[in-house]
Formats: sequence, C-alpha cells, structure tokens
Amino acid sequence: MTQSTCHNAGQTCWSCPAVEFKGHVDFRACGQAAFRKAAEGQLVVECRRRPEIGYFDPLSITFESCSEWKQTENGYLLDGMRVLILGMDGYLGWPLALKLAKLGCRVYGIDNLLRRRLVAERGAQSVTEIRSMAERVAAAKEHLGVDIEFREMDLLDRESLFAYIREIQPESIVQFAEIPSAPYSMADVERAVNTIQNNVVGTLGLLFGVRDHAPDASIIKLGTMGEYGSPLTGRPLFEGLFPGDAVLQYQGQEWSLGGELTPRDPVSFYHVSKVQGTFSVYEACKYWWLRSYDVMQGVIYGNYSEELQAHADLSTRFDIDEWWGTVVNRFVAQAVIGMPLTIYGSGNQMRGYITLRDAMQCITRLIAAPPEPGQYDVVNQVTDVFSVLQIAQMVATIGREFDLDVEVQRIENPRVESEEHPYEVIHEKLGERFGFASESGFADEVRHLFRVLLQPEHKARILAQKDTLFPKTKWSGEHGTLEVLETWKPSA
Amino acid sequence: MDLFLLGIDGLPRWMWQKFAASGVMPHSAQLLRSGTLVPMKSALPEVSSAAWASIVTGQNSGGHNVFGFTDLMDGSYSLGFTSSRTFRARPFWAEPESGPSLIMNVPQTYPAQPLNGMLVSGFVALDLKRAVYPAEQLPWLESIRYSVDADMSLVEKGKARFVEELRRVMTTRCEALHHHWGREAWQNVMFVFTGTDRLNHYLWEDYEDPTSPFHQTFLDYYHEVDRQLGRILERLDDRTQLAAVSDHGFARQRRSVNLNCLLAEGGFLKLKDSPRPAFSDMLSESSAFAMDPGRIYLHRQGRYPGGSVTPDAAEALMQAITTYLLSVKVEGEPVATEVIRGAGVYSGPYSHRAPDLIVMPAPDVALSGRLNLSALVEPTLINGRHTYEESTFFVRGTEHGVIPEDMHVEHVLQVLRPQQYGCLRRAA
Repeated sequence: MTQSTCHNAGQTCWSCPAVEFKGHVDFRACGQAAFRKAAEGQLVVECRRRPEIGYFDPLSITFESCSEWKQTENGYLLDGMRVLILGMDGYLGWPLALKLAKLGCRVYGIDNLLRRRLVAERGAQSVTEIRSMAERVAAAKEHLGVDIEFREMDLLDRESLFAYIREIQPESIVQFAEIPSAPYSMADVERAVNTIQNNVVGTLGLLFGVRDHAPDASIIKLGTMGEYGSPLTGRPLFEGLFPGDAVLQYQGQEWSLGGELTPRDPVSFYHVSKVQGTFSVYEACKYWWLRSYDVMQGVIYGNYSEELQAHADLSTRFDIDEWWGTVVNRFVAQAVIGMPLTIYGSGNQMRGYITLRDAMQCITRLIAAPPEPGQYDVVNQVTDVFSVLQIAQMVATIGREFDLDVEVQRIENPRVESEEHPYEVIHEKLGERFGFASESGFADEVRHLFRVLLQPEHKARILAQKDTLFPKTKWSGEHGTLEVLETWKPSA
Repeated sequence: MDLFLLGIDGLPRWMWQKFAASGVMPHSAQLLRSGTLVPMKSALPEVSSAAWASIVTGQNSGGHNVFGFTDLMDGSYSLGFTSSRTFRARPFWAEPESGPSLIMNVPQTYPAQPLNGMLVSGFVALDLKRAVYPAEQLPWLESIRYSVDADMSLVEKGKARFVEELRRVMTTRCEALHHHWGREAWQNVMFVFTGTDRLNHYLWEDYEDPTSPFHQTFLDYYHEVDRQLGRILERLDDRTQLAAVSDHGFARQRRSVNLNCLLAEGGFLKLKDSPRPAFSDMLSESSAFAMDPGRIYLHRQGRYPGGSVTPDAAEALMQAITTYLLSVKVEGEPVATEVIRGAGVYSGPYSHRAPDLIVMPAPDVALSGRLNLSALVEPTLINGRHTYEESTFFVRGTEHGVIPEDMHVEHVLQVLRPQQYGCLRRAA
C-alpha cells in the first residue's frame, strides 16, 4: 500500500484520541481562552503522547505526518492504540480482539459471558467448540504472540466498568456487549426486558462512563440494518443520516432533511433496543462532544479470519439455533445434516449481508480513522443484498459441490414483517471514505463453512442441537408449531 | 523587596496620563508625579506574547523565540502555539542571582515553570492546574475561583456581562496578589493587569464615543484598576523600585483585514481546496504566507517541506510583496503604512526563525493571518487594536538606568537593572 492510498492519511490530530483539547483562542484579541468547544477561534490541543511539541493547532498535523501513527494494511493506526472491546467473548468480539492485537493495538476486553449461558439454556451450543476466555487469551499469546487483557465484567456493573475505563484510558471503545437476538427479545416478557435492560441501559451507562473518564475515545457502536426496517415506499436506506440534498415536500413547501437522522422502523424489541442505542449515542455526541461511528451491520455470516485460523483454540463461537444463529450460518448447518433450509413466508424478504472477515476489516478501519470531537456518523456495513430465497438457492447449489442433496422449505412466517418490499441499501462510505475493499465473497465463504461444518465433530454438534434450528418463537405471542407450506429441491 | 514591576496590558501612555489628569485614575496621578513616564515601542509586530517576553528578558524576539502567539514548527507546516516551553530566554526572575520572586499573571509563562518563588501564569493559559507553581498553592487559588482569563465568549452575551466578568477576574487576581504578597519576603514581584487589554479590544468604540452607554463603563473599569493600584502603592515601601509598563498601545479598529486573502489575491499564496485550510494545504507554487498579526514569511526552499522560493528570488519577491501591500486598498483605504524587513529587526540565536516581512497596519486596520480565505474583511466584535507606538514605561524615583530616547520593550530591564542587563549608565 502506498501512502496515498491510506484512507486516513489526511486526517488530522483533531480526530486523534491521543490529543487533548485545551481550548479555543482568539489571537486577534491577545489569546483569550474560551473553554467552549463550539467557540469561534483557533483550536488549541496538546498531545498526550508527544508533550514535547507543546500546544498546537490540531488541524495542522496529519496522521501521515505524525510519528505516532503507523501505516498498516488497514490504514494508519495509532501505535499501540488502546482499544477496549465490550463483549469480547462474542462471535465478533473475539476475532476483532485477535485482529487488532496482531496489528499492534493494546487490546482490553470485558464480557459477562452471558451469551454462553443463554445459548446453553436454549439447549444449543456453538458448533465450533470454544475455549474459556482464559484459555483463549493464553492461546492468543502462544499462537499469535499477542497479549490481550480480559476481565469478566457486566456492562451493567457501572462502578467496575468506570473504574476499568479510568484505569486503561482507552482510545477506542467497541460496543459489542449487547444481546443480539430478535426472536429472543420476542419470546416472552422476561427476555424482552432483559434485552432492553442490557442493551439500552448498558449503552447509556457506558456513554456516561466515556464522558467522565475517557471523553476523547472514539466509540464504535454496533447497530443493525434492522433498525431501518424495509420501507414500502422504496426510499433508499441511507447511511443513518439523510444526504445533504434530501428534501421533504409538504403542502407545497420544501424542507431540507440533509444531515438529519433517517426514520427508524425496527422489527423486534431487539431492534427497538438498537434504535434506542442509536439515539443515546447521537445525543451524547451532541451534548458532550463524544465521538462515534454507529455501524449499521447487515446480517453477518462465516467464521473465517486469518487470526482465527491460526489454531483451533482460537475459534470464535458459531451459533446456528433459532435464537442465536444467523440465516446463512444456519442454512449451511441445516444442509450439512440433511435438514431442509427453513424460509419464513415467501422468502422474498431482502436483507444486507456481510462476512465476518469483511466486518472485521470494516470495524478496524473505523477504529483507525476516529471521528472528530462531537462527530456522530453512521455507516451501513453491508457488501451484498439478497433475498432469503436467493440465499437458500445459493447455499443449496454450493452444497451440491459437497455431494449434499439440499431441500428448501417454506414455513409460516413467525415474524411480523413485510415479505414483499423494495430494498435499496446505500453503502458507500466504508469504501469511499474508509478504504474498505471486500476480501471475501458469498460463495467462497459458504464453501469454507461447508468444509468446516462437514467435519465429523462439528456435524455431531449440529445434530445434537437439531431441535433448536426450526423456529418456534412467534412475534404474535401465540404458541404452536409453525406450518410447513412447501418443500422443494432447488434446481441446479 | 527590591523590585515591583507592574504590568497594565494594552494601556497607552497618553491614555494613562489623560486619565490621571482627568480624575479617572487619581492614584495614578500621584504615582506619575513620583517618577518618569515615557512612551515605549512594542515588539515587532506589536503582539502581546512577544512584547511581554521582551519586557521580562531584555531581548527581542530573535533572542527569546516568541514572534507571535503561533509559529510553524521547524521544517513543517505544523502550527504550534508559543508557551513557556518555546520561550527560549531566561526571564529576570530565573536569573541565578535572583532572589525569591512572586510572579503573577505575566503572559507567556504558561505552563508554569519551576522558579525560586511562586508563579501564576498569565494568558494564554489553558488549565489553571498547570498555571501554578508550586502546585500546593493551587487549592487556595481554586477556592477563590481564580481565573487565568476572562471568557471571551461572554462578549456575545453583552458588554455589561463581559465587563462584569473582567471585574470579577481582576478582583480575584488582586486578592491573590495580596494574599501571597505577605507570605514571604519577596525580592521581586511582578503583577500584570490584563483585563485592560480585553476592555480596550471590545469597548474602544465606547471609549471614543462619550454618548455610548458603555463609555462610563469603560472609565469605571480604569477607575477600578486605579483603585487596585492604590492598594498596591499603599503597601509598597519607598525603598522598593517601582516600575509600570504596558506591552503596546491601543487605537480604534474599524476593519480586520486578512493578510492571507490579500496575498492570495496578489497571486503570492495558493491553497488546495479544503473546507478547513491548514498550512499543509499550501501549494508549492505559493511564494508567501502570513501569520498573525502582520508577519509574512516567504515560502522558502529548505525552510518548508514544499517551499519553492530560492535565495536568489527572495529579494525581488519581498520587493514585490512590499509594493503590493503598500498600494493595495481595502474598502477604499490602505492597509499598511510600512513593510519592514525582518532581517534588520531581530538579534539573537533565533533570528533565523523571524518573519521575512513585518507589515505595519494602516490606522483603523488590524491584520490577521488566518488561512480561511472566505472573508477579506473579517467580521468581529473587536473594535480596538494594538499599536506599535505609545506603550507605557514608568519608573518611580531616579535610581535607575538611563531611559533611552527611543525606548523599546526590550530596554525595560536595562533601565531597571542596568548592571545586569545593559551598558546604559545609571542616571545621576
């Protein structure tokens, strides 16, 4: 990579979390200091890492020209950047920890290990066996030569969380510590409340902790494309905020919508919790000059990353059951054990998708290019848009390469959702502004999954939880078995 | 106590005399009768940071390395702010023979550096915690809500609110002075009133207009400064050498002209398109740029990463810029009265860092060096500007060195401490 291709080469110290804002100064009036960040005048900062350069204009030094920012394959990265991953034990948290540690970040993480308990309570399990966090951390040291610090901690234990933030002074904080299941949140009142409590209250508390103890840290907040819903008008799903030229026409007048949050139309109480998280972060950036990228992630799938491949003890979890699995992962598992791929309703529901590997690249690039103080921005983290039917078709087709005779089954839709709808996802920022380029396509990732899941030990773990794959949770709150509408073998 | 050096930031010599005579500053009237008051010339350009640095070191910018509030870091386009850490000469209180000193609110001393005594920095000081030496004096200062500076943003809430803040800051500052004065047998005390400069910047138009509702507010503030001066005089014994100085004069400002806009219009400065231009956005074909307030630097090869001006081209270029700036008009008025060559102005180890040209503004004009080129005449609430001429030098009694006829800020210590700082003869 040449310097000119780094997405963040031209970013300035004003975005750098190592810089401490000292004030605004108007030199036309002899340098009176005003301590409001919104004030007019010349920005003055000091670098915590390079105090010897004194006070300076943060806009006058770029990452490219700063000795603390090192060039990596994911752009310039603050040398030894301190990154705190909340939810490190999860499907995304662990591979991100490995990737960042390999890139030279100092990686810290917390998790209350709730996901392990909730999956077990469901009678399910990760298809790939995962080690305890202590064993994972040791394996990372042994096989990758990296140090990762982990503490078992609940995001809702604010006293411990704030003390930890104070202690490690993170420069970036990744918020993955949320309960990520729509059907779980719709199962009953306890689970709905648990989802809201953990996700909404957890994120809100975190924001106060960042404000008080690490206000210059960038917050990478995981949202979901499901926050937007699927508007029947066909309105494109912009990246969280309306573009500058968006206009609302009403009663003969035009109103600019540019820069305003786009409407949200969540599709479960889990998605409601994510929408609330979006507003909490947005407001915190506005009130307290925190900074955040809100990542509207598409449905994620796959289990490949360079670091995960280094040793089996480094595996991330891989869930496939109704509550904790995602559609592509579940379809491959169903295909492996000869179970029809279950499609809800018509199967024409469109969604955005991204592989685990690509998602990790995106998050890393966002960490490497922090927003400016007070900046809230949104990216749609999606590489492809497919209907569920298309996915079933593609998985069945690839399954044949592994001598699998795959059936597809349409069942009564347990969810309340549009089954026929336009779906235009705008996903430009990651490529254009953050230099993201996909490293893994759908077919290759699914082939990799087949190779992994067809291994006898993994197939056995799928069979052991076979009963958890077929959906049972209805959005209506009704109980009873979902009716099978149609079963067929896709043509080649 | 050997020396009490009082600073009154931005107080013109003529105005002090006038206020003393008119009764606005009665204690000053008494004081001025006891010594010699002369006009003094400020630093070049007439910026407070450089002028105060010269007053307390006896050197010009070439000696102390403070040419303005900002400077580009060597060999780069990184814009740094001058502070006590970039201030390269030793202030008088840090000289080896200097006894315990109480130094309060002297600009350009932030962050506070260790000394034999106590120091509370003046502007620009961004964090009180680092403005105080020794640190154990901080809690008391915090307890009286000591502010290093008044909040400029209060001007937007109205002049009355702003002046109220200036008075509050002055009161706590003076309370701090008197509290610490008695704690130790200080050999030197230096204390600077800086609210006067703030007042002059924002209420000069009211001073000049006797019908303004804030005209009396302006006078009342100076009356309060004088009352505080009276408290100091009351406490000082006759044996202490007392001097009072200001760092520059003041005059009316009717327009703030962005020199970089003029240089761009004249074809000397070319910037890449950028929503927030920085010096690194200067294209290589740029031949010159300006920094606050009237400093012009040639974009020299070897001095800046993308510099293109060769030594051979420099003379003709300076001539061209000089001719241009002396002839160009903004709103029908000239912007400069003189363009001075930096090479002839400074002496000392940092002279090579000096601006190539210094632009002396025309009457009513203040010059800025912003890189945001959106407005040639910048909107501002500021209506008073610094002047090079007519800053203030006063010394009580006759026991002092010769006061030069052409007194400059860097001569202050020569007059007060001739044996240490200069070859000027002690007056008879």
